[in-house]
Amino acid sequence: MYDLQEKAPATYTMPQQGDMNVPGLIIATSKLMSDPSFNEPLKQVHNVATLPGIVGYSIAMPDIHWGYGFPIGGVAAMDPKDGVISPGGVGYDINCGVRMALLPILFEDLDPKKRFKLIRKIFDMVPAGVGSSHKNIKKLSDNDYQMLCSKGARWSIEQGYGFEEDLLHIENEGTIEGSDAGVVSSSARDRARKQMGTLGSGNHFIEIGSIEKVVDSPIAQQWGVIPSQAYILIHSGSRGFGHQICQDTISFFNKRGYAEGLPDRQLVAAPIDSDDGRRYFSSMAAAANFAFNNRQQILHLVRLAIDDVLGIPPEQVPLLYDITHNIAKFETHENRRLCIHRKGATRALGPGDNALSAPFKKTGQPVLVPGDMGRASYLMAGLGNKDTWCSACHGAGRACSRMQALKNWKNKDPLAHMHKEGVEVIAASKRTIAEEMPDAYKPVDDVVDAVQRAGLAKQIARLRPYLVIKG
Amino acid sequence: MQSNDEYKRLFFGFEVKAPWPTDLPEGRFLAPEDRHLTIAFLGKASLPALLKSLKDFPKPRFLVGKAGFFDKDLFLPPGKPRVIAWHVSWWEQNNAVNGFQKNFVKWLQGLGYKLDDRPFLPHVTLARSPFKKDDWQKAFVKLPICIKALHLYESVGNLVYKPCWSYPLTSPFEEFEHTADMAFEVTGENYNQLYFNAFTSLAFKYPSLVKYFCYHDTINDLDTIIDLLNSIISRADQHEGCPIKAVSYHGNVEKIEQNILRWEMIADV
Repeated sequence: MYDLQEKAPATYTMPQQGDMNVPGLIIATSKLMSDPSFNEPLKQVHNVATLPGIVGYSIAMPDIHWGYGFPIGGVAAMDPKDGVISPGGVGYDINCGVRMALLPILFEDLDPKKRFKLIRKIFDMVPAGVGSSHKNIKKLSDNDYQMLCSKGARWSIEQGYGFEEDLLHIENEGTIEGSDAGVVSSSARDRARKQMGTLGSGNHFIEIGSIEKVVDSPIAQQWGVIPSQAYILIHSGSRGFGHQICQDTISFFNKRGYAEGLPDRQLVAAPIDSDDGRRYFSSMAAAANFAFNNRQQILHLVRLAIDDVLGIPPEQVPLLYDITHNIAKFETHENRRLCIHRKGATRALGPGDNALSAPFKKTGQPVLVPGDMGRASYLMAGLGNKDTWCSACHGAGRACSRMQALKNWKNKDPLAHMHKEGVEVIAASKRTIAEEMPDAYKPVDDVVDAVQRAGLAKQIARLRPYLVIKG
Repeated sequence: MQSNDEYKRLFFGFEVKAPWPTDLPEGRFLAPEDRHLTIAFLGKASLPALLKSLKDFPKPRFLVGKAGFFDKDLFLPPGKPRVIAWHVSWWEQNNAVNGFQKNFVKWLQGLGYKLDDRPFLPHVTLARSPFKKDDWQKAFVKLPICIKALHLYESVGNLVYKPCWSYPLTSPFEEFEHTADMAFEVTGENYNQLYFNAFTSLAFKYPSLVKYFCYHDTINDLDTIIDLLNSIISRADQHEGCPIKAVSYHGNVEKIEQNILRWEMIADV
């Protein structure tokens, strides 16, 4: 369908044609590209390339799959003067992201009796699933929103959820500048008043496992990662707050006529250098800061559960890193300021990048690549690939629809299957477990292989999940 | 001369779809595929004679299956109930199903069939006695429902019903595969119906949405439908949570055969 041309290892270009303003750039191996489902999202790579002010390439990561508007696994850089900002290029769950923390104990040394107790305790403490909310805590007030949206994760730390040191281990140190809670609708605020510190549903999860294999010892050592060490991964986002902001903005942009002439109205975008564009950026940044706080507070609850069950105090459970994979951010690349959209893609800065905080200046940025709840996830280090504006993949990517996954597991017991595989799963909904079974995802090894061969990030460690909470 | 084999226990009804609960109280159940919405009960009648007459039956004015919700439980007959049924209320006011039923019964009466003259009570039977009324009253929840084809059913015993003639309707919605999210092909004869049917498809996934339905009948464009659906989702998410997070602006409305509107709806989950 598209005449992709090999440019470099695991890197293909989609020639500029028709209404495309730039060519496409596809990060994938021939193995990944042989999957028939790989072609469908390429149309969306093409569509993104038609947006005004796009610079470089319309980029697809190896975990690309069909979204709406942008593909999931898409990256696009926009010129701040001539370019546009697209809420569909960020996604509904603004600043959906992953954070990884480390335990000062080998997983195998965790008392087997305490393992399930621990995951149960976390499940009891962190509300998960549809409508998960903290029923017994104070609702977020408008003043809380004002503060958390402007301060980012620092707001939670000031309230006692975590440590000052955590901020150095969060992308952008836990704050996207330029947010303004004042431009956010009351329906967005109302939707999330009781959702701070909650996991949500769908593919969001908390996972505890073991560092199965260290691939790059020097960097692993600098990050405090050792073989067989117990780790925690948390995947969540901005809950109803981000969804409502995205929804409000797409509706508003469509009414303003910004979708005219676009191949897909979900791509609707306003000029960055316009009141409407600035307004979206401010509200999106507010949601991004909500999400940083959300993951900060979830980690706090996990730390308390670990203290309670294992007697390991919170300060001995350091945050390794927190990255976002649904965002539009201003970044400087080769002395040029650009608005980078990453939808289902992460930043992957290389060693020496000025935007990195001190702990990662020499190593490059940690890149967290969750796979699925049965096989593996990866910890990688960014290499600062210029063609992709220093980006990398965000996960394994779905291999089949939720509908198909449900069919695959109809009349079977997915929990028993996972138990047999050595993974204990707790979920708010049985349906979610079936939808999220490992066979619903591509093998993360193949995706990570493509990322490494293309020079976007390199493997540091392979992680093996054992205890999983699903929303 | 007609043989006795020609005579069957026959009735007309619409095939129904609903997200049936799996944990209903005890009773003699009709299997989900046998549940239907009866519009005319004939009793013992000659099948060949009826099939011959059906060549000229008064067709429904609607082409796309109608949607609505179960609004209350019914225990029939009221005095000594033997049947548990759920009453259907349609999203559309002055629904065409009721009009069709009236015309259809009149047509059958004109052919000489003796039919019940009681007002039409749109309902779906779920189970027959023995059952505990209290348990069923507690188990009732408002659920979305839609009708598909019109069938002439033969009652073959043991609460099994066999279609022996069918008149198809376009399905109001069908789910299709979408890698990351949830996708439906929604149809309607106008924008109002497209809204009702899109809402129903979402409510099939999350029946609690029925509580948040908002009636509108002056819709002329797709954006209004998307805004209304998103407003329902927002309210549901705020009050109790909703696994569907938003309806996207992906796709446009197109006209397919017989001027039916079709929309490929993708919802974020």
